[in-house]
Amino acid sequence: MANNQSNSPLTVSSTPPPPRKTFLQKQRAFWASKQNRKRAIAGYSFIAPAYLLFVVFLFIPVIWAFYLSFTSYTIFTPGEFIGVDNYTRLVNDGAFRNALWNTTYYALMVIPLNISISLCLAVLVNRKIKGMNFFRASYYVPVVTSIIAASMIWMWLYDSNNGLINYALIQLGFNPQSWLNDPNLALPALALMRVWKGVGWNMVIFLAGLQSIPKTLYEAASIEGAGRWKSFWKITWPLLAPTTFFVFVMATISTFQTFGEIYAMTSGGPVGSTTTLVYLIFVYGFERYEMGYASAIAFVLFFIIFALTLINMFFTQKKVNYDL
Amino acid sequence: MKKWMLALLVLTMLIVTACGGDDDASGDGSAELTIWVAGNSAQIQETFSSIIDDFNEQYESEGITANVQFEPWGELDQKLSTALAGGVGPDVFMHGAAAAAGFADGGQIEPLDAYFDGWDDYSDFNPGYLEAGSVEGEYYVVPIQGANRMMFYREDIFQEAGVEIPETLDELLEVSEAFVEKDGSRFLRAATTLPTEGNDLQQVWSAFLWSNGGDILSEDFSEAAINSEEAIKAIEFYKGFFENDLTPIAGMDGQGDQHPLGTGEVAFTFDGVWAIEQILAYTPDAYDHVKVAPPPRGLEGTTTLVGSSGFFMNANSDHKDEAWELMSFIGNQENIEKVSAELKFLPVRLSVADADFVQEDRLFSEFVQLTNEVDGKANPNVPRWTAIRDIVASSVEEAIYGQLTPQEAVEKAELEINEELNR
Amino acid sequence: MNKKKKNLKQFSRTTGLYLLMAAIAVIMLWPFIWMMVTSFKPNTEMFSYPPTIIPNELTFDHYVQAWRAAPWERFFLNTTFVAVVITFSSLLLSALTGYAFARLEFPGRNFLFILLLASMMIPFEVMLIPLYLIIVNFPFAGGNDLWGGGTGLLNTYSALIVPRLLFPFGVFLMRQFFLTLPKSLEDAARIDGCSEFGIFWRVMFPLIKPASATLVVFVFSMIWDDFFWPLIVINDQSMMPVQLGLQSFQTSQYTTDWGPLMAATVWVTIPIIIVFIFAQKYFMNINVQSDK
Repeated sequence: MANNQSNSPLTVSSTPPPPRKTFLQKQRAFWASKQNRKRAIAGYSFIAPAYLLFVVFLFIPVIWAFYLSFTSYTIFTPGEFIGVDNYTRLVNDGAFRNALWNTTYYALMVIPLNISISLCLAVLVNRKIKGMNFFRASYYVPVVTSIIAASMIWMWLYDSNNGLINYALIQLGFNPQSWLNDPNLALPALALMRVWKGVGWNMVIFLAGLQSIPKTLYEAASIEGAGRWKSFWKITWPLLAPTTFFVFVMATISTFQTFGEIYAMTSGGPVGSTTTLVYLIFVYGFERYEMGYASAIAFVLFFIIFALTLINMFFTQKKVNYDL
Repeated sequence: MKKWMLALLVLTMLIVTACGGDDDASGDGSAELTIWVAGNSAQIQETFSSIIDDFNEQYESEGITANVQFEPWGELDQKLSTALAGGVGPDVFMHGAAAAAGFADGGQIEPLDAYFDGWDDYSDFNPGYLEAGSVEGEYYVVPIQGANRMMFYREDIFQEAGVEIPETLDELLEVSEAFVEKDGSRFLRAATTLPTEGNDLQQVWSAFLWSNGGDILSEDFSEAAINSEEAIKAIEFYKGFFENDLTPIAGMDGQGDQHPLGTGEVAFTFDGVWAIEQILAYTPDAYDHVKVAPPPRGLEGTTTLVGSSGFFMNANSDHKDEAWELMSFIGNQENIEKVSAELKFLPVRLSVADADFVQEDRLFSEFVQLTNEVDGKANPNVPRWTAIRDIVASSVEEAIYGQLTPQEAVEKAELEINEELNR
Repeated sequence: MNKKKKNLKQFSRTTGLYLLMAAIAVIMLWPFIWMMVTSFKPNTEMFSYPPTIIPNELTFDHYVQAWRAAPWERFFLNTTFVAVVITFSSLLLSALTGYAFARLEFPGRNFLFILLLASMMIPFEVMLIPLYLIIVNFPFAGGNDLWGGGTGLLNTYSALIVPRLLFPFGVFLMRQFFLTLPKSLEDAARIDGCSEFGIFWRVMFPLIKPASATLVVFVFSMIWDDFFWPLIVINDQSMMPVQLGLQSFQTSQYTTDWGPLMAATVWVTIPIIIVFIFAQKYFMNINVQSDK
């Protein structure tokens, strides 16, 4: 069991890969050991309850939706199997291309900002000093503020004529902006709000990640004369890799699937500048009832997120090669 | 370890079965109806609950009972279409009439012509509201709320500017400059506020199109008619307010739920009755200055938008006759008056226009008066309407933002609408 | 002298730290503070320009009005019940499953894990109708036989709880944290003759308390904030969650009653903040020893 962790593509490990064997050989060798058998049975039974729920309430709906993406299903009519027509229709759909671009732009703004700010916040609050409980809680408040109320408050802040942000800009001598009504600013404005709403979530995960790094490592590093900056890059960053990977994947998923505030604040406008893929799925699926076509968009989105996850997995594996 | 697994499994099973529902009522002559009402504010719940209570009392002997549920506006569509797709939709539901064609096309709602035949109340309904929910000559809706748009204006601001309400839309655009007050680039007062996207944009703009004598679709709904001189004129007029700096593109209605007429930040708007309540709730002092009038004439006269929301019957209901009893009960004189009085819904029955509560509210009664006098037109009920509506709105929007010329906008709309109609 | 200088340096550093954290706190809390301030203003002052930071006139009317607008006691009871059941069950499920994916080897492990991970990447909008049909046709519940016929789990607490017991992100989170634990702990326990479950339950699970606390906070706040799913599967108001109460201030398609909405948002948000503050003491729990 020396390679307990090493053959997982997602883990960070430096153990060299064992010599290649065929699949059958591997299986036979694995099941030959009593200890392996015992542990594998434990593994299957540990995941069984969760997997039962997974299959019924997630996997089947996903496969179903995947099937629907090859049909002309329209909520009220079953439709028929039309092969890849929905997917070829996507290629020429200007609204889809626009949404694809908006989604990419939005993600490029939100994900890096979200991850870097939340990591900084986690490092900042990862200490035991008086009043820290208050600061941590206050950074988490946006996460738990209902999206309905948060959207209304932000619409008001962004209001071009009477909003607080423009009021502040005018007082400071800047030009007021039309924020949510300016095709160039609306998406960045929504991105800013998403960062505000999301950093607390990731901060908490990073904080948990920082807690699992043994203190002794920092002590050793400081004896060797490493500064804070150096020990961050030499110890914190590499040991945080599993956490960072988690944060990245979750941030990607949640950013690509943002819907609530777009629905409440801009309805995809002005001139389609905040129509993201998920918003487009909503429009096609629930306003025009073309659920088959909407499903096809959903699976394009899926492949994008999945590809990004794989790329990140690849980098995480390559970069992290620590011996401490 | 095994004990744990077992406990977990048992727990899961327990939750599934123990909480599993137990109610299953069907058959044996009696009927249990479900009705969904759009909106779940305390007032809406109170009013409709009491109507349904009355219904249940009156129909107890016949074994009909109705359960009412209130669905928030924002999620109504998703919940309704999901439930209908699952075959467990309500027997009767409230929805905007514009969706009628989509539902009818999917076989989800029942035509009501047969029921209307023996229904005396029919003739008291404002024909425009019934029309708004009819598809290919068949009626589908019992209206509960009218949704017209009129012109509201501030009399004091007009006087201050020395301007009379002009005769035509073009003149309105010309005189509007007199209302505008600015501080740097910030509007202290704009001439008006106009929606720049979505549903609202389509509703306000279409009234100008119709007033010019144009239309979105051809008479028989078979093709787009939007590529016309009238439509271009309507876009130019609409766009004129932004181009001439008479109103900001971001609108003047961003301060929470206040109405800009109430605060005096605009001189006129094209709004529905809801504006009256907003003015009363947040800026009661302004009420006396606000007046309502028919919008000025376009090239061909004045046509306003007529819409309605009302109750539809689920085509898959097991108790259609009973459902009709419920629908006609809600639509009776007494209940329409109750709903209109308590919720300030625009009355859908002609006789309600004279009711006391209407007369007590000056603006409300003037508005009701106008809805019965001014020409009105409903959006076309075609199955692809929601998509067509989006096309109209986004084409006009692109023209407003200067991404397309009015000519290009109507050409684009024509092309896309025809594509939708042929899908 | 030197010591004094060091103290001074320490002092100014701490002050700087506090100033920085306070500044960030103001930015993060601003919309919420603004919401609270607004909730105490009368309608006529609510939207005045320039905005008043401190209300000229204090009123509790919006709170009274908001409390009357919905059966809040019932809503709070429902949400708390559902959130507590889901939070603890899903913590256990996620930990068990995440542990297996991280520390136990079995054929198909990575495939099964990636499948779980991938399922999160599908937007919920397109899964809604299939999932709804599963709920409606759930065998042997709500008047259903094996092939349906009734309303299944629709309009039951089960519909609120069962489909949301498993959060793939919870499994993912737990897995990532179990990966960081040193292997020697597990080996030592194994030599002592601990069963596989015993290793998980007595040795490993207690070591990831920060992650468990994180998961508790996340799941609790997700359930607390979710309004869409309950709305879809519940018809009976007596089972509805607190978030539905917030929806009831939309008085028509075009208008919203701001004051009561802001007031109600304040009391809907506070319980989760309390949960967060309680969970905090587990965020800082250092008892992992390094053996690498």
